[in-house]
Amino acid sequence: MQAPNNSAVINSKSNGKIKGMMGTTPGQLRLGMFAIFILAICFAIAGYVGVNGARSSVNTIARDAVPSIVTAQTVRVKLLQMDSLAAQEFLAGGADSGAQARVKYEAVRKELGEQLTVAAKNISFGRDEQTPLETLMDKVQAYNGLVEAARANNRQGFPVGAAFLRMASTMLHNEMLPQTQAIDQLNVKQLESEYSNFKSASVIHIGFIVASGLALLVVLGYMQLFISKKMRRSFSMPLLAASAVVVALTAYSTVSMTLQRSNLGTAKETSFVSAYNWLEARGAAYDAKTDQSLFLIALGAGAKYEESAKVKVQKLTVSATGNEQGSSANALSALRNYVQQDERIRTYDKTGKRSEAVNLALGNGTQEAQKAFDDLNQALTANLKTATSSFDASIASAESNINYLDLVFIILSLAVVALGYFGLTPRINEYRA
Amino acid sequence: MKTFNRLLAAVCATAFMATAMLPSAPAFAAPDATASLRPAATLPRPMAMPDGSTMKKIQDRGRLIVGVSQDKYAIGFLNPLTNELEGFDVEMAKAMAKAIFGNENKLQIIAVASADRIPLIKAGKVDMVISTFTINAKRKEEINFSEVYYMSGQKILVHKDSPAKSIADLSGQRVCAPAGSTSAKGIVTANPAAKLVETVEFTDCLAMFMMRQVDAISTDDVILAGLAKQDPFAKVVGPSFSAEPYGIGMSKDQPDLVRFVNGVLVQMKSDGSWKRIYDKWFGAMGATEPPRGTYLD
Repeated sequence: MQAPNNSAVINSKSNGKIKGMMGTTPGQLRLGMFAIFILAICFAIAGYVGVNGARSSVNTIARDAVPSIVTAQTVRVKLLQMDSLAAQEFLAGGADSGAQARVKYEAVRKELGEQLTVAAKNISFGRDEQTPLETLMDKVQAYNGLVEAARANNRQGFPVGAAFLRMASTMLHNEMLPQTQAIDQLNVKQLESEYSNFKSASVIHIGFIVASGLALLVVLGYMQLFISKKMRRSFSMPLLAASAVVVALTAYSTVSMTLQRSNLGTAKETSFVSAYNWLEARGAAYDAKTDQSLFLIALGAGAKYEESAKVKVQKLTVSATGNEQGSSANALSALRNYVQQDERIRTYDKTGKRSEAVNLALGNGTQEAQKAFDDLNQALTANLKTATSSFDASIASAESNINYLDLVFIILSLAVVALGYFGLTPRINEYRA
Repeated sequence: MKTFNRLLAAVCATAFMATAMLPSAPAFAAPDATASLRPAATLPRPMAMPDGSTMKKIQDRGRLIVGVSQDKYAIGFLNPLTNELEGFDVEMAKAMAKAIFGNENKLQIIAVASADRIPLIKAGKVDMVISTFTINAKRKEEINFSEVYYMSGQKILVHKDSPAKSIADLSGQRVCAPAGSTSAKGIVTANPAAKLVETVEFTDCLAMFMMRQVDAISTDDVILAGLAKQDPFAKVVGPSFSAEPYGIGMSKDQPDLVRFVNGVLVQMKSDGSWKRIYDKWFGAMGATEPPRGTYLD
């Protein structure tokens, strides 16, 4: 004869034990208490995991991906600003505005160095992000070298200076900006994927919290009815309190996490998109200003820079239109004024009035191009500030919505366990007596 | 027969020696390739251009539009210190404006890249191009040229430490010239083993040369002289390996303007103003006489 399997023996023993428990009232009470314990733990886990998942998404989006994107875009804007100032200084020659442009160039170069340090500290994608950053740092040195060569030759009256300037600008556009774009795209991809995961995960997390909360409520309600029917007792106050805690916590966490989802959505889909557009608009504005200077430096042979400037203005218009954060109207009005001055410059240049064209391009008077550009830049910067402030506010709200909620879940779930224990133990003890 | 052979040998030897003794300007393959339209016996007075003429239209417009290079030091370049275009070709343009208006400032200068010279003339965007524009038969199929106003020749610019003495020594090396220029074609013809690097402007070549991205630049001697002045570590070497007769490019539809311009050039060559401009910009290269014009009619 074959010996019976050990596990089969154990299973049959525990099945028998449960059946035995189900058959008696104290057994049923113990089982109910056990179910409350298990479901309370499930409720705590669902809450803890849900809240922490949501918090992690906020962190990834607000502290990692978005800052990296903003840094990459800021680096891009700084590079374009440097290029614009280098061309402006070159165009101004020995004039005061040239010296001012140089001082600004040096200041922006320093700011660029700081931004690159920030970017280096915020690397999240290993070599994929490190390589373009290293290339960029290396090219910045080469770019500065070319600009210095342009300056040195320009000061001696040598036309080769203009060639160095063109070379620097071409290198910036063909070799440096694509590096910022690569870093930007890596982080945008991460942002989109994280946000998409968050959106679906948050629904699932809220669903788990509600489901485990409801299951707990069902068991608590059942035990309440059981006591009242089987033991002819009125409602157990501890079980009633446990039910109230579960209802309140489920409702509160559902509302909080829905609000957090909405706030993060506003931060990402409205404020971030607006801030990104304003950053792009600023970059396009500097780029258009560079094209204006290069057009004048090319002395009538700058058709390609004129075409390029038109493309930048078009890009700027698209980026500045329809943003929910910041005033598109102000930016577009400033842009119209800039374009008017730009057209006047080109008309002067094409009719042989080069000096007038250069003076208009560098002039800070009310109806002059530099002033128009500064006004445009100011409008774009103000809008960028509005959008970034709004992003920060939405992120702060999203964080405050779920502040300590994971801890609250653990504490209140333990409270439910305790209340279940205190609600059922006296009834079980009645049978011992 | 013996006498004839001796005579033939003597003629050939004389011709060979005469050719060899020519200083920097090599002989043309075809002298008539530079022939232009004969100017009128007298030039119209400024602001009194004949009715219906191209010059009258320019006079009525109020300015002469001339395409000039902006990157050739001493020929046509933007002086960053004054923000003005200066150089030999610019002064030629001023002389043309003065001949029409009596005022050299009635001039709109448009900077032109080498490759844009003919398209700009054909599109009527400029009245003329004065920009180290070598006269050749192929170009003459598309535009008209004035008589020769400067005789140049193609040489090479190398680093001071380079052992190269001529274009023949640059096999396998990177030699730069602007795209579409006769200089670029000249390099390929003179030494097909040299690696041609093409840019937009001459100064782009110089910037690359200074950064050691090219080993040499080859173009007309006057342009190279201007480039060498901007780089103390460069030298112009070698014999000229092509003849570059410069002419003023104009539209084929405006022969009256060509005759007028030739008239102004004849006057400049005879009254000493050509020599004054030459001495101002190229005096360091040594004295020279203005080239004589040849005419088709």
